[in-house]
Amino acid sequence: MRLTTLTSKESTLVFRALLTAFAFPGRVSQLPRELVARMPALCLPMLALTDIETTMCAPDQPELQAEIATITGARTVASREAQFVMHDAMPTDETTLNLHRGTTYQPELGCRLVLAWTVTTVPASPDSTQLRLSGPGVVSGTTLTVNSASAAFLAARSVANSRPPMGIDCWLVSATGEVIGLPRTTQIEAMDFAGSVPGKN
Amino acid sequence: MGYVSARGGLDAIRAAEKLVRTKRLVSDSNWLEEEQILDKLRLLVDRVMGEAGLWEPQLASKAIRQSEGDATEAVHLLRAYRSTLPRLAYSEATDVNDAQVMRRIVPAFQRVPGNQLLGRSVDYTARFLERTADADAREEAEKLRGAEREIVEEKNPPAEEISPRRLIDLLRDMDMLIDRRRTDDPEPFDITRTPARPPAPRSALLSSMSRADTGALVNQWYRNILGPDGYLHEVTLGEVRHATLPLNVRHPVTGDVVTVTHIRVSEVEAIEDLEGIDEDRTRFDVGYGLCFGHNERKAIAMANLDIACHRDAGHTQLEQSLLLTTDALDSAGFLEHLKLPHYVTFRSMIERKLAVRKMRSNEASTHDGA
Repeated sequence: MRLTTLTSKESTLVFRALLTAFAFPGRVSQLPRELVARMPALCLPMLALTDIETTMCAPDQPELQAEIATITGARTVASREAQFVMHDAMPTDETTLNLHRGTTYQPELGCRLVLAWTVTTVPASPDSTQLRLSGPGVVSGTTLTVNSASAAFLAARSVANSRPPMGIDCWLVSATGEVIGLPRTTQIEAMDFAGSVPGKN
Repeated sequence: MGYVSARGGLDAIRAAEKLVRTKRLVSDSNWLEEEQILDKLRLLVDRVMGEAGLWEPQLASKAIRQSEGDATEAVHLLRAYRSTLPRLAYSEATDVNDAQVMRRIVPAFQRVPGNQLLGRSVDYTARFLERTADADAREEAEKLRGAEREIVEEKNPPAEEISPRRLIDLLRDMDMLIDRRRTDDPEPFDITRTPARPPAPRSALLSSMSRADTGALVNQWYRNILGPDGYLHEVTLGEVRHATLPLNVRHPVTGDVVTVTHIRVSEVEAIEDLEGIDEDRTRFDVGYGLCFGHNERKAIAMANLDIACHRDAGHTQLEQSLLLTTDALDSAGFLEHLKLPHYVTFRSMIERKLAVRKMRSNEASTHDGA
């Protein structure tokens, strides 16, 4: 499946879905289905948001990285310098903690991270962790169920976002184009099986 | 009585949005076609494109329709849309002498190379509101349609009329102009990426004015020339042009320069009489203005403010005013945000006043007791 240039209308539709995902953190939004049918959903945010003035990196998918760079004109750099980073697997703690977080005066330079994700509705079990989201835009009671690798990434993400306004913003994208936004302002806490955050009532 | 804050909700906001959309789409009048806006409201379309910083007549007409004729709102819609578009390439520098004029006047000189070309203008027309009956106006339009075809077919102006030599070239030949042309080629300041702050390079000032709100720029010009700034100076326009300019990019494969489209611009050169004690009083200087579309008012204000800013050299707040207060989206955005809930800040203000009142009351009691 080859990637193609998005038209301005397609690009706007992807942008809109990503914006909605950030406006309601933790809620599942949908990338345009006709685009998902044509190319990997994970690449759509990169195709829509990168251009000749942006830097990008897809360290575990060099072929897709080259293709995105050719199509959009974005410069490929190391992930710690990139404005947009795409990962097919959960990044290591080291990778996450080294992503660019912006500066106090230019927090908008913080990295936008696009991650492959399997959206699950399976309730929490001993093999998974249920997380409660809070922060601006989060609908009360929003939870997220993740496996242990994802939980480790989210812990590193919390560290990367511990000095606001600096931080990293994430989109979790499923193969079918479902997308969950986790902007840096969203706080994530692990819940126990009873559904409450340990230490809180 | 205490102050009780009201609380809105997402449902109320959605209902308000629906009301706007429904009232716009559902009405007894005919559907407003984009072509009608493009054709009949061309100056509004040009103004919106200029203030949005996006040359796209079709989208501008959509924005005008969606905003129900509110130019600033249309600019907001276009800017928001523009911000979602990727940058595909950088255009090559275009020589304004490659422009083809549709209108060109030189108020400073009667006999200029290339002649005066009035083009489409109401400058010399008495303003009478036309109250012709619709049926009569339509009949007149049909008659004129045929006549217009003849005019277009007959008109084949010579090259010196399409790209006429400039008055400033003539003045340079006469050694009447200060020569401020640069020999280096600095990168232009990109106001779409970084807000320009004084002291800023001239390219930042020119782009800011080119994208500024027309009314705000005219107001700055009037204030500067006649108002409290007290900066009275001789204003003469050298060139006022409405012309089409080619937009060139380098082909990504062949590397050749190719013209991808043409844009219309208004261009003005303002001749400034120099009379300052530290200025060359034997020569003139020139201010420059160029903006999207047919918007001579804006280009004239821009050219005069360009030279005013140069002569001011940071002595007054002119540059700061131009850079920080003339953008339609900046100023209207700040103004309109006042309509959003300020419950917390206002409650805090009330509490501060109550606290001061309580403190004074306590002080008075203490004083009375003593």
